[in-house]
Amino acid sequence: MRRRGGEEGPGTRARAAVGTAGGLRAGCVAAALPGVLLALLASAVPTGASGQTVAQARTSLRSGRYDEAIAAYRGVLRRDASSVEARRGLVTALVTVGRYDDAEAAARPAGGGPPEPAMANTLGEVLLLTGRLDAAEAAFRRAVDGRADDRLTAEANLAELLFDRGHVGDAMARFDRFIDVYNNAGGDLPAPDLVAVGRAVRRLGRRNPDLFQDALKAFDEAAAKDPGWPEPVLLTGELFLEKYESPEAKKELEKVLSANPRDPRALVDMARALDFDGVAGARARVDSALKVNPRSVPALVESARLHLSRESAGDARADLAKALDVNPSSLDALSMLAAADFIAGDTAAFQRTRARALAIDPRCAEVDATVAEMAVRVRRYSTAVSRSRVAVALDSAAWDAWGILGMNEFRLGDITDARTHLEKAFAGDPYNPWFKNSLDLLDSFKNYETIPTEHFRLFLRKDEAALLAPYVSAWAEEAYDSLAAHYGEKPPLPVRVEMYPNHADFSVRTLGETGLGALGVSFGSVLVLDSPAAREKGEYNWASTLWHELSHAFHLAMTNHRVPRWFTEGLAVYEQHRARPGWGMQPTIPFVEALRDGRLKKVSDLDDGFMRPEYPQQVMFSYYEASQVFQLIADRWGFEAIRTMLDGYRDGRTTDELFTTVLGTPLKKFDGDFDAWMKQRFAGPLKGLARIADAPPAAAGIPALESFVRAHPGDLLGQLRLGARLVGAKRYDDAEPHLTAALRMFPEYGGPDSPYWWLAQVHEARGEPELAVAALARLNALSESNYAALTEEATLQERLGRTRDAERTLSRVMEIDPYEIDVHRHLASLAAQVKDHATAIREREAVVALKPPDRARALYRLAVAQRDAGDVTSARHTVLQALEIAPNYSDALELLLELRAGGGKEPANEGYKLAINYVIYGLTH
Amino acid sequence: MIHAGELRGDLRAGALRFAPRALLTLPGCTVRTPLLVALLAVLTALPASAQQTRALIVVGLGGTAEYRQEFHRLALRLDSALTHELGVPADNVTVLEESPATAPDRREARSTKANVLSALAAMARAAAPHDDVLLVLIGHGTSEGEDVRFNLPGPDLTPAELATALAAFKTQKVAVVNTASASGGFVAPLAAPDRVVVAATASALERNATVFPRYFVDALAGTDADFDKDGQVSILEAFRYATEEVARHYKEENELQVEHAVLDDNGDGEGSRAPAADSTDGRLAATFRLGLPHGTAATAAPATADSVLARLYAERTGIQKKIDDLRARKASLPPAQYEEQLENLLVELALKDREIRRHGGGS
Repeated sequence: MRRRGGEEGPGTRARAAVGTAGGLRAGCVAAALPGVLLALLASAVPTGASGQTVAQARTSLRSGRYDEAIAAYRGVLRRDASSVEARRGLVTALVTVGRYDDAEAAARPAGGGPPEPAMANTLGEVLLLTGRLDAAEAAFRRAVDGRADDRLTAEANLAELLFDRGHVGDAMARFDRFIDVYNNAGGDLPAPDLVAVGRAVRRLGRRNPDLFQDALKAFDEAAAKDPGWPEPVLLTGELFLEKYESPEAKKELEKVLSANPRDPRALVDMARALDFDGVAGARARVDSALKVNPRSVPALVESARLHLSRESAGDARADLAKALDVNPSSLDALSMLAAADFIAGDTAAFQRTRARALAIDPRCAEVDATVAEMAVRVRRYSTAVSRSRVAVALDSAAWDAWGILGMNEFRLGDITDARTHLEKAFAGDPYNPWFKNSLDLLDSFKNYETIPTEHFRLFLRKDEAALLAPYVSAWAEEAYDSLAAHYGEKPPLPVRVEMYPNHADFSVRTLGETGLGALGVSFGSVLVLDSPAAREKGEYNWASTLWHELSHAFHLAMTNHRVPRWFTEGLAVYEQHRARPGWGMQPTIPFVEALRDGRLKKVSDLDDGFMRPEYPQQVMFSYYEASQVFQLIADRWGFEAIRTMLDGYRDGRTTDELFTTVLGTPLKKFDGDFDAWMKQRFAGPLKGLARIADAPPAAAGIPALESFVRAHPGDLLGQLRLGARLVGAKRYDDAEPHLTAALRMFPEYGGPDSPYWWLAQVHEARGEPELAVAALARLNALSESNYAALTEEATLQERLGRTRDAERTLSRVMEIDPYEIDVHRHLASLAAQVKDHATAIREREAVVALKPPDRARALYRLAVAQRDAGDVTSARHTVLQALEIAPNYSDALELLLELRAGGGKEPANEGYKLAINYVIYGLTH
Repeated sequence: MIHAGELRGDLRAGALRFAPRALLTLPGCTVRTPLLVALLAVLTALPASAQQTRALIVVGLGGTAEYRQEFHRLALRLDSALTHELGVPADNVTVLEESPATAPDRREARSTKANVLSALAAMARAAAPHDDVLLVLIGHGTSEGEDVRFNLPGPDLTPAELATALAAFKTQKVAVVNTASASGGFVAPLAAPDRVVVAATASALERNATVFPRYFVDALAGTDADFDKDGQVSILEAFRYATEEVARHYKEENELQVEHAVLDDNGDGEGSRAPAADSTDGRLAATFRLGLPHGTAATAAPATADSVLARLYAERTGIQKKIDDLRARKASLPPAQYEEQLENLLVELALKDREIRRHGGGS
């Protein structure tokens, strides 16, 4: 046994403890009570004939045959009305299926009057579940004072109720006494009393986090004493979930569900675990729970949470109305309703709901913390900050609220306050991996520097800042100008752009944990991206991603963060398409197959495609699909319609309303129109991808493919695979007709095995470089990150003497991989040949930034480029840098003399002068 | 800080799992202080005539015809670079090969362990107190556990045997360049004061055949590695050039890099992957130039009978020394003042160079 000092109550006396703790939500919830009722059953000792039947009834109850259990208990009571075990069991069964009135009647004395002590706690739990708090409290006290056999459970219930009504000091003193109960029992406590101890000590964990481990121990001991009883197992699962351990939580919940797949509480807990993990299945679990008990408050609250995550505030409010009809005092339900009211923009309703909650517990932070938490889910980070500030003002030990505050200050770029509040949150909740990870990342910020541009603050790691800053600043400013002109509005400035060369850091910055698959995130005017170093060459175009994220910043600003996820994602991809050919998601063969098979989401359900995908590729498909929605709208109604819809979201209008009023088409009708438009738009590839029963396998050889294509000349995959195989076999002339056939069917396909790629090889092999360049150029206009195709196109252009074209093409490589020093050198050389001095300087700067071993030579060549651009001042500074390293560098010495003799012609481009200074002098503004 | 310590740990031992935390790993600081700043610190007043470079090139077992040919080619090229480009007297260079008959004019004996140790002993006897000694091992290495060897015809050479032989060089500066696989296992045993130890691999566990020697020899044989443009390639410059090219080689071949060269010259036995003149390792290697007396600035005035040129050379050397002095004082000067003075001296140097060229001299 470990010895601890208590932090509240008696204070410093040493004690051994087992215990449990409650986080903010647990502190205000009575969700565990049905399980506690089960505990009463567990304490029953079967006796005689009625005991046999009680056992059977219990078996029915624990296996989810609730009607059977109710009937069995009633049967026992008909024979022996005094059986407390049977009455408690009956109440439990009735509560589990939502028959609260019947449960209350069963708990009360048949002839009326005050409850006998043996049933007082059971009655109190029913009263608590139905929101009659004063009566519940009186019943618990009666059980305790009457020294009922379940008085420890009643004491735990009473303490939790007092805590939830704001009597924290009294409640904590009562919780604290459970430690002595455990220590004095010498290991003889029965399972229900161990559960009571665990619940109490879990609450003490809010001031001493070590006690969470003791709570777990108590639950484990209870489970060992009554292996068939789900209560301690459920409490264990809930504790794991509360401490962010969903895999362990799910293991516990699976134990319960394997014995009773209909256990409503286990189903709701499992839904929470799945939602926590961000995987599908939560809705199905909640619905299953509601089938057993349509009036289950925890199930209705969880259902509302899921609706709210989908930005369906109306559905959420409907569920919560049902929940509050059962239990008008449920702080969980009130908190979620407050969040729904707030997100729906109904400020008056929010205030009313919040006041109801605070009337129950004047210091309950849960309402504001829940609003903050749900605000994050719909990207309203400033709301999360403001509400969590209110929450911590109400309860300084609301560690999750401190964490929400810190995490969202971090997301909004308020780094100093974020650190302070995350430190505070982590001190109170040291199990939280997001706080820990975020604080670790904040510690690493000393390795980053901030570089200002006109509209941005670039936050780049020092060892790649000099390399990336010129490119990032140029792209960011171009994107800003383009988007500002397109929308006629601007986001709050400056926009902070953070780029992380380690993807795990990007993920932590975004979510607080690793594992995020995205490339970039927009929190509004804070954009967070992978730097190109974080990704394999060829899988990431950082400039395109930056444009995408900046688009979000505009959309979020214009709608006051009320734009739905699918809308801003699709519109951001649409903006990428506008920005450069090939940027953003492009149609792929699997996408067209999904269109063919009806596996794309309807427009009205597109949010689910991003947030609850049914299969892994659905997220990617949803990006492209959503972009096409805006392509269609722009084509038919003009871009102004999109602009008007953004204004509508800002004013709180729903998507359906906006489609009806702005486009004149209800959303459901638009679903059909869009589907028809897509099928027309992709008619060629859809026809080419029609299912053919005898299609050869992907690895089929040339003869099999030839035979297949002869029989099915309109098959896209057959033609494409045969063409590729023939290129591989160097049968170029044979390959060409198959590739062109595939091309005719799907001319927009720009994947790595695009017909254009193979045709380029055909043309190169046949000595037709002009045609090869044309094919590669087309391919590169359909793809944003095909490194091999870009470098090959540039090589061929250069070979054909098209130096300026080669320079332009090679410049695009920097959007994919700016770390190849030889590519920079080559691009600088091309730029110098066509007298594109700005590019030559940028590329020579990049060479210097990449820290070549021969730094003196790199600086000298930069100085030459600066001289060629007429920037004598910068050239002199740079050549001095070279000569400082290598004073006897004769070419550099000559250049120095030349520059001094040439006078002080000032550079034409001030922007480059600034960039140069970053490189040479390491300036930070 | 609150979060600096360990997390509270598992709720249940071994059960609580936190999201894996990727640590930021920054490459070492690569900001370089000009090499000559460090060079100045070790300038000595020793007469040039008292110092020479002595070299022993050992080619080990090739194993296959391809490797035998490659190792022979590298030895030949290094020998030629030392004796021709770098001006090391031919008598000061000893080459031991697996098959001496392939170049009978330059290969004194077969590269058996006995011959290697004997050659080192002979060099030690012949070496003047301040000579520079270069030992280059070209071939394959092997390792098994703690046991690491350089493969020779007959018994292999162990680090301990080599360390014993090198102990004979009590006053000389020694550079040992083991370019073989598993050569990282030689670094700690050979580390000593006034000794540069280069290994093609970071440890004895990197056992694949290396490409490091081809680039190290390239560096010494050419001028591309002369990063400070002083007309000479130091061991440090050669190392940096070779490591850069090795990385490029693996990248271009699209292969995982299986060798990571290290250099130790502070005697601690811990090789550095990115040594520099102002770093933990690299100070001695920066001043270790082959073919010139150790510690002598490579820009020392060439000998000439022309009195005008001799004066001009002397004046140039004076300017160079002023530049070196100025750079040594950089930290104590305001940046603008430093830059102005540096530019004035460099202009003076440039003009002096022109004057020298007008009089038929060179750099």
